[in-house]
Amino acid sequence: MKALLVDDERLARTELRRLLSPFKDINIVGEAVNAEDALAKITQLNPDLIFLDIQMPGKNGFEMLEELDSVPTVVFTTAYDEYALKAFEYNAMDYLLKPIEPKRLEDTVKRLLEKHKKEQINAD
Amino acid sequence: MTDFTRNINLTTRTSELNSNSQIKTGENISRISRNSAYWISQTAGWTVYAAANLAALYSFEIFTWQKASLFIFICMMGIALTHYLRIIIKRNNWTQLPLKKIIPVVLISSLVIGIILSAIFFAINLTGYFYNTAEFKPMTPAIWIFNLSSVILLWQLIYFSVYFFRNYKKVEIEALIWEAAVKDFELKTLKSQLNPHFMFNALNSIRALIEEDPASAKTAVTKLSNILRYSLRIEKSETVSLADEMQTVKDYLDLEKIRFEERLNYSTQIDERAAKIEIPPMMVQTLVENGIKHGISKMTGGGKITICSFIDDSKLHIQISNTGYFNEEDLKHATGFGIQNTKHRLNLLYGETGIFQIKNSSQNEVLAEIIIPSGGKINESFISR
Repeated sequence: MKALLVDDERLARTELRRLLSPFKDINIVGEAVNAEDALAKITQLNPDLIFLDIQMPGKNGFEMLEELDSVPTVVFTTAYDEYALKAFEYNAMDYLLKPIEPKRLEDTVKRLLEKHKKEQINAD
Repeated sequence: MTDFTRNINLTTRTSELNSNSQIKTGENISRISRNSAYWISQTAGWTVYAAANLAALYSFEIFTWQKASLFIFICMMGIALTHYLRIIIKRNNWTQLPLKKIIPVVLISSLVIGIILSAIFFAINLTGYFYNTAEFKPMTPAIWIFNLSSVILLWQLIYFSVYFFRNYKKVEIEALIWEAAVKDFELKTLKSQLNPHFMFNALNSIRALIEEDPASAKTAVTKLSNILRYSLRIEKSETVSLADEMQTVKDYLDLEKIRFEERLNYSTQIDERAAKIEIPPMMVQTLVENGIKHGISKMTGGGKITICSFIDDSKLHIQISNTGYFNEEDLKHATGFGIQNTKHRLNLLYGETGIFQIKNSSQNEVLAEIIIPSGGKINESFISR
């Protein structure tokens, strides 16, 4: 699965990259530092999956999603738990709280891959 | 309802009351209603008295229009004199006198007004047009003075009882408002002690830093524990020195700098004398947090925050300026307590002498300023109670 990491904090991206490194099926194709950057990279790289921070300078994560015509699978990553309900209105696959627990991420990845596999079978 | 929710309800009501304009309007309304209540009682009381006298005149004496109009005139004089008495009572603060002094003052003033009214009565009778003075017995003047003085005495009894009853309630309500306001303040301070999101974000960046730069990660953990310790310590203390508060603010900014990296820059400039002044804990911290949350973190290119403090004209000035734009409309809809809380705390602690203002100092810079007396708090006793 092609994944794009969207977070304005470099260290948060580094940490997420490190946490995702054991999962060989997740292929990180790029990183974006804000909504504008992410919109450009989504068009350019066409990822299957985005890990998306909510609080960012300029547009926030939700506002960014509203500008997309076709939305990839979204996993929110944030320190705020109060956006969880809103996140699912945006068809979020999952909602991870920072600092992300490795075991919790493992479950998320497992479900992501299952969903991806099903979608591929349906597409064939 | 649990105690806790009751507290919250009480505090919401108090914070509504605490807005200055509302208190002033409230006072105006009660002053107007008090005045009209006074005039209604004044007119009604004397009308009843006049009616009773006319009824007595009709039943026991020979009723003449001259006598009746004299009675009505005396009652009107009564209204005028007691109204003047009320002005004297207010001007000389008789209501504040101890009971031992109030009693003779009330007795003597009643007698004096009784004598004046009687004198008017007899002076008018010298014309011979109303009463036949020959009918008067030697005791008549004394009876008139006694009667009229008793009426004034009754008037004063009612006046003072109404005053004391009303005042007693007012003092009680004021005490309740203060108590609730203090609780409100304490509740909010507790809430403002640590922003959990800041903690989680800081911990998240520290975890990344452990691999990348272990030495910086260690420093960050130390700074985070300093902040935690400070937040526990201030639960017990009413004030901290500006220097203490600034240490925490710097630790906080250093941790945020780990997150925002080159997007956050800060500088501090604290006058040596200002650093020693005691201030309410978390006051600067809350505003710095606000500046980052609403200002710098919203700017794609980041920004700068400057904290500057000095003493001018025996007042402590704390100025916090940050990159960003302050929108007053947003403030009205905001549920956040940063600015409201600061204003409320200053008002509780320093009354009129505590000032908070926030404005756009240039197109992309917001300036927040606190001005407090450098001598300390005014309402100290309330908080320590």
